[in-house]
Amino acid sequence: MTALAALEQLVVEFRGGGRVLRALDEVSLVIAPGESLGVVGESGSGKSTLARALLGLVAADRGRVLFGGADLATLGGAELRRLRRRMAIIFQNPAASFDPRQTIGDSVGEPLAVHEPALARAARRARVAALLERTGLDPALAARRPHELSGGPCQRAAIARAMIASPQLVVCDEAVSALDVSVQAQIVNLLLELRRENGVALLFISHNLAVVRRLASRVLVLYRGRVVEVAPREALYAAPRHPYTRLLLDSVPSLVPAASQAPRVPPETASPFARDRGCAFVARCPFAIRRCAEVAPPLETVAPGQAVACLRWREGVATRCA
Amino acid sequence: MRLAWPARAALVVLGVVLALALLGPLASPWHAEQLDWQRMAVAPGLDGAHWLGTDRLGRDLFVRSLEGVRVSLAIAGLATLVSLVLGVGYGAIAGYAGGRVDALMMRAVDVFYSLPYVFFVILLTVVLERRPATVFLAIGAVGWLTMARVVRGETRRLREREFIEAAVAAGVPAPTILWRHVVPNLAGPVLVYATLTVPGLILLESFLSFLGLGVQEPAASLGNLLAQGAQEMEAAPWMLLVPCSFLIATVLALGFLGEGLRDALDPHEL
Amino acid sequence: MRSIRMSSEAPLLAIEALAIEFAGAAAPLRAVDGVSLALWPGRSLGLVGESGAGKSQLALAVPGLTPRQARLTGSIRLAGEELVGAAPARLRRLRGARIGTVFQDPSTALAPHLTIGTQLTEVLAAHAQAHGAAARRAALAMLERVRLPDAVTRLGQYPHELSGGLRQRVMLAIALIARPALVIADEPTTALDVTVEAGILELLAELVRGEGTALLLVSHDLAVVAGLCDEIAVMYAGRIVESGPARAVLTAPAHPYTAGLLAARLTLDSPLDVPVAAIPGNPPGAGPRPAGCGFAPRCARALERCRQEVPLLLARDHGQVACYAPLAPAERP
Repeated sequence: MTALAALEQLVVEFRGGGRVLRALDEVSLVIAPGESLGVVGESGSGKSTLARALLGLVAADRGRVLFGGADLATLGGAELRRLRRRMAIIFQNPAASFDPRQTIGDSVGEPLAVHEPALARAARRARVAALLERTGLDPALAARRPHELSGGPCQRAAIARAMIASPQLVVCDEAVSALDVSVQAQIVNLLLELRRENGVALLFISHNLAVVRRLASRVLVLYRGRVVEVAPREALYAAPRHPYTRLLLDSVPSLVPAASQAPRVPPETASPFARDRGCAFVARCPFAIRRCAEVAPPLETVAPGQAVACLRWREGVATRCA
Repeated sequence: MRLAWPARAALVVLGVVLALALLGPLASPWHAEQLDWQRMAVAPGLDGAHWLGTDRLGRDLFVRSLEGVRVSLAIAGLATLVSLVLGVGYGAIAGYAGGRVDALMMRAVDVFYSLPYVFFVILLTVVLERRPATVFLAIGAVGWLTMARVVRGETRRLREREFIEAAVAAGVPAPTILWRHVVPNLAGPVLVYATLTVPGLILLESFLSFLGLGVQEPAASLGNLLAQGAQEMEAAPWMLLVPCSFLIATVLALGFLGEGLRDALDPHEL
Repeated sequence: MRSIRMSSEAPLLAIEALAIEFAGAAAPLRAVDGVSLALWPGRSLGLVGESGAGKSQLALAVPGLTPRQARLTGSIRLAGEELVGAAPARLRRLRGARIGTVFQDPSTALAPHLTIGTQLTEVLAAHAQAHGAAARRAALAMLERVRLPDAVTRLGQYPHELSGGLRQRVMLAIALIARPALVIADEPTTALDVTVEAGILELLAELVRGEGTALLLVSHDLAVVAGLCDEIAVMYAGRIVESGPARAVLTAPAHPYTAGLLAARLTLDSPLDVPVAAIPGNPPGAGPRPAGCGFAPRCARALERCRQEVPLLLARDHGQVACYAPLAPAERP
């Protein structure tokens, strides 16, 4: 298997006011062509930074970002732009991801205008219309401006823009989180259909485990910039190995209140600027022992395709309390 | 976009002043540099069709004041235009580039800022010939600095927006992003700032002309009319009051219009 | 049993035929369109709906926080006192003292330039309940009740020094410190992380139950309401379409919209091999509302009549439903 994209020991830091915030701390991952990988994390987990790093929108401080075998850091501006034809991103807030002064049609057609400048204007319009129709929109919407569309249609247009240059990888950064439940389901279905049709690889980033479960066949869990667990969907949801994954699963609100006995876990009080010597989750972990605060747990392979960064995974602490 | 009533009233006042400045002189039998030997320093009235009186040399104040409005507005307007082009270009590039380029470009602006402005203008008018074009050059050369700062701040804010990030991620080259996404979205704040710049520059022009550094006799500008009027303030107050009224009306109207535009374009207001 | 209790005791909050109108470009927009509901002391009511349902507008009208340009008609009575058209000074006195409000985003709802201690004692001072050292003691006790770690230190801290979850605990403390009879919570956990959400909801339930406070909870998430509320009112396009005991409405919905909303929720055990049961179309935007039932354009069961007449909210086995073609008990999920 050759990887489509990969992060190798990636470190991304942000500096400001004399402090350093390590958003990603030695994160590695591999995305195979046509694969759908889910990334789960809460605020401050570094999941949006991960999306931006993969697309070369933020620079790596250490480690490498590879796409199609090429290291993004070594590419020149023009080469990087050409490579971007093969990737696309869909943001959380559909209205904000469109230029308020441009028509939807112009925005959706922009990647084509950049990467296929030889294409005649009429042909480009036709491609935009066809794709709008495929994403369930009236092609006449091409003449509208983003503020005239509500959230659902706007996100459909964002999907059309992401798909128009036939990319190999689409990154969805909380792409359905801002939508109403009834509309969210429509967009999830649309993404599933498009994936089946085009075989495009999907990196689906979300805080919502139920949504990720529907869209991703492999899931990676981030906490404070570190990968704490990565596993195939079935394994992760049925038998999580990391206590944080367990906590996330137990926290999903359920309609049957009795069934969701959310464990009482103290909230995160550590500053995002603080660097964790041991495990990042130690302060909130119900299973933490003294060594957890002293030694950073390595990401160990525990089963085919499943790895976890927990000193006590062998004891099955996370799995047992289910 | 809906303007509040003060701004709409200001638009009407501006329209009237502009129409008068362009068409008013045609209605009068006099022109700006013509002397009326029979009627020197007469008060406003119907005598000899000098509706707003004459100055010491018998020149018609109605026509001269309107000529002054035209010249002052033209200088301020052109200078604003220059500051718009320079300021938007410079500020947008600095703001979009960010990092060291931004720091370097903005420090250069700071250096210009720290030069004593009036001294700089005086120097320029001394070195070059004192013509309206020189005044315009002097004002324009410095007027763009604030615009560049405004635009740079606005561009930095825009850069954080997702639609710019989406364009970068789509592989759109930076110049195209600047031209197609950044500049059009600057239109609102830039327009407002420009409207507020014009009255400031009119006042500056008047100030320079008042000092005798600006537009020179016999050409009229609001500034040199004020300077002459001020000398006759006690004997012939209309010589000061007439150009003064035009100046106040124009500057106030532009101020109100800018205020109104800012409110109307402010995304936080409903 | 419940009906006897309801008839014998006056409701704490009684809203009748409430309408909130905004001047639109062409026609006025009715954000809330003839809503009636009642809330008894010690009970909790969940208002559920999607964007544009009018749920937040309805809830914020109670403490008089409706935007100025809106027109309010109908009646809101708190313990018998009419609040629609009440003097602003009177409403201000009620806010904090009788009605506590918890907003969605604690990072913008807290004043950034005041310490947490000041913001808490301010409420007590404003309603002449306590001053000085007594107010400080009360503030500390309240922070301990919302289980804020290191409460003493927190009194002197500013909101930006706290994480989102801790800030929302402070919001709860501010809303509850003057022991109001009614607490209004507008999407109190929407801006928070999942692992923090459960703790806040649990705390809210505990605080409200312990004091016999009535709770009006607004949420887009059925699960949030399910865990916290005795009763549910589902809103769509400015009207209540279904209401009743929470458990009954969620397990046996009668309105097609409630049923659709339940089916569209993704859960940890929803099937992976079939498409998600989405409701077609989009929630109504700011444009003109259709005649008849607001949900009719998206409803698979809509009859001709639904597009012409507005169905009334009528009693129907467990609660109330506004629908001409409700789901029969056998059809319910």
